[in-house]
Amino acid sequence: MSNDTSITRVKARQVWSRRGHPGVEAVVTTASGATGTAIVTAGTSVGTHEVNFAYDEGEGWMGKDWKGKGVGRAAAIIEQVIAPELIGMDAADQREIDSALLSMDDTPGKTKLGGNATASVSAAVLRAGSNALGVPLYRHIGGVNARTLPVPGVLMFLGGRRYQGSKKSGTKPTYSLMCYGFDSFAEASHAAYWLFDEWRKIMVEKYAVESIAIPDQHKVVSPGVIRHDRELWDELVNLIARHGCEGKVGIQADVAASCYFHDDIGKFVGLFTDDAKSRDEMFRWYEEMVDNYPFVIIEDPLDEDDWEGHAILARETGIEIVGDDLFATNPERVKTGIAAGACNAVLLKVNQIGTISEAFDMVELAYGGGYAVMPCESRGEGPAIADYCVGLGTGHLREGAIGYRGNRFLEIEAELGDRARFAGRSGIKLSRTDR
Amino acid sequence: MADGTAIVDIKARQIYSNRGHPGVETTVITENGSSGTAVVTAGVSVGTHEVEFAYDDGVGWLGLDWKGKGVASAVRVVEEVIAPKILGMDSAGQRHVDGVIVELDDTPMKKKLGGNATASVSAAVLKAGANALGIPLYQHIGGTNACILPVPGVTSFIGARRYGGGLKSGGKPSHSFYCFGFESFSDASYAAWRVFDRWRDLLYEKLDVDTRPAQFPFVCRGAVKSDRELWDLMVAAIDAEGYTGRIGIQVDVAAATYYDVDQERYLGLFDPEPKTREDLIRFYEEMVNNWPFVIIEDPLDEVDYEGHAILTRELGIEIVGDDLFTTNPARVRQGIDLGACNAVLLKVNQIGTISEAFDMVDLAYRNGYGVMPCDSRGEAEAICDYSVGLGTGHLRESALGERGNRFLEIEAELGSRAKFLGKDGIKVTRWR
Repeated sequence: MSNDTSITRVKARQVWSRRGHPGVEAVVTTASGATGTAIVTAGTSVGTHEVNFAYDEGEGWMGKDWKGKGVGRAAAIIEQVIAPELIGMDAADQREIDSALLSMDDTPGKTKLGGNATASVSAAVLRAGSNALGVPLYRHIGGVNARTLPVPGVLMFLGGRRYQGSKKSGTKPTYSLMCYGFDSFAEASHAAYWLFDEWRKIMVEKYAVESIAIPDQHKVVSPGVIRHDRELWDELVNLIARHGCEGKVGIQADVAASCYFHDDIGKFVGLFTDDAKSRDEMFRWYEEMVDNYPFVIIEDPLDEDDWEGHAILARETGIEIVGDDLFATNPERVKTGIAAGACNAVLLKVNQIGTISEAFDMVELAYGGGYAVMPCESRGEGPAIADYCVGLGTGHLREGAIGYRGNRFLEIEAELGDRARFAGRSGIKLSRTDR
Repeated sequence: MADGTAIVDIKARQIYSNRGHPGVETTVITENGSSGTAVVTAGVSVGTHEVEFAYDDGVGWLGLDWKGKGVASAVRVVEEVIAPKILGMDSAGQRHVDGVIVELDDTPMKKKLGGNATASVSAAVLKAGANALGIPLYQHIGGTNACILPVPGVTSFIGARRYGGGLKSGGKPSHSFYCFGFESFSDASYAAWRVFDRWRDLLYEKLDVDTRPAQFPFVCRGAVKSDRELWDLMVAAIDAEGYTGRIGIQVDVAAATYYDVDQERYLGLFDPEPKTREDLIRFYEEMVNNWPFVIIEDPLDEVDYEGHAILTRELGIEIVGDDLFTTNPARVRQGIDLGACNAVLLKVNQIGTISEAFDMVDLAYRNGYGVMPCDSRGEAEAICDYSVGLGTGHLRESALGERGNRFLEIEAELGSRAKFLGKDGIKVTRWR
């Protein structure tokens, strides 16, 4: 190891996440003075099969009550338990660091240290290593061959009560536009910008939804704005056509169907319309959706334990079927899914698994099984999600076309110059030839 | 010049702002390898008296059409016009650099170069200077005396059509909780989180408004008949968390956008009832008497200096001028002469150079006016360093999120030197 990359200090603190709740931030400093900072936060929804995060019981930071979401203990674990083991180790040797973390907590669910404590240190080490070496993060991750810019998306619509129906959890299905038929990331990004700006006007004029001042481009829709999601799909298709983007821009839906599944009646309630739908009816819905609208990606279309159903959709629809709730970023579940042919892509929440090396192992597992990997910024990854995408060559990601993530991609594309390659249509798992 | 602080490279590019539109980003590199990066973007609304930003005519970056919002020309101005003049200058000498920029464009509105081009260079130089010297940005701005953490707020709701009425710009009036009655920024920040979380529960339970997915609680069309319902609910949230008398309400009215010149009435403001200027002044008296308002921004039409002076005298709370002053020194001077407002909204990147922004702060302070910094032109977390460096005592929102994190970091770094002004950070002369 070069002397400069050895770890000299590991600090942690409780910070605010973008969603307004506490998260843990780790800062790793190397002998050269280079630092790496990473934040890990909980998602809006937490799957039952996910790695455990450490939260304070009772009082937390400042001696205050953080409603069970405080991470004072996670910060203390980092500084008191993890830091002493890592001081002096090589920040550029991610595998060695992550092995050390795993040897401190060999439980699969990271119940001893907490997955938020381990993941924030692991991700901070990755960045400190890259900074200490003086190479861009994407190259530290993927080596000199990392040069593929992904197909990005732009979030157009969310709001879970849009049909005037009963209260239910979550705001799904959300819809994004995936911009694939372009020659570069910058051009795909421009298309996303253009379409999104036009969409804002449609939302105001047609649905009386004001959307100017909301950060992260979220479009929250009032109860009762529409009766049927088909109204939205029609609008999106018209928008794509008006801008001359047919065959270049497709629709992505994150259905999160489990949230709408009622075990007692065996039906999905309030999905796409207010009605209840059986599993068989859902199949017919998806078939019709894919036949009549330019869907290119559907995430979590069925209940999270329905391996067979996800396999049927992956075979029949000819588009990308992503498993998020189905896989819960859990390698054992991904293996089960691959064996069953359920989905053809895995959602990747880098900071969810507990260490960077395990996240990368999961990516290899997916690639080895012929599955695509769909990175998603949801656990505090921030603009670094762009470096993960390029470094791992994922070919596409959830959203990321504009805003701070788009800015990082544009920076990487400019830096790579003529070595940069835009994944285009091949970045999405499409076997149908009609889009 | 200190070792290594000389400017050796200046780069610019078009980026996306967090509002989804193009902005200009400038990076300044110093001899010792330090750098400073600053973004300047347009606001949601642009005042008629504001410094002009340069936008592309026709096609812009990549040869594409950016709907009149492209900044490729501003990027070129930075790299081809400004950069050659300031290369080799001391990045830590802000006044000298800004002097050269102002010489290049001596028009008051920065018509020649564009205020976005000049401001992004000026702010990037400021950050590069701090980094090259190896000191925190707030200390570079305010010297060793910079130690005041501001009273922060958290937005409680936006959404301009909540009474079912016509569509207005920008989601106003927007409201925030202001957390002043605390011992430290971190205490105030914690209280903001508690009251905000409670508030979202109340919105959901009482008004059937689901705000969880959005960072800004967004009240949809027709959800209430009058903003009074929302004020009652805000008070309920404050009381329920035990913060009575320690958290107040701030409102940004943007009244000018609701003023109908022909009818001489404000339409669709606070409730569907049209209001004359006198009605509205009485309305504010009632608001301040019955709800814990501590700050009102732009309460009247943007040309009504006299009305703002009346409210400033009568209400005994902080009256902030944004549309009234548009960060324009001549208009601030006029306001001071008439006693209109007692605080000035500060959009650091709006004025064209950092030194001019700091001059505006001096002007306000010397006349007893408060300064309310607002992250609205791409300042992002640096607004925290501006707030501490300039000792503004309070700022727009910023209790939580990335700006909250930066304040917590500064507070920890200052340790026992950190001061929190509490209610003295707000220009309020009445307290219930």
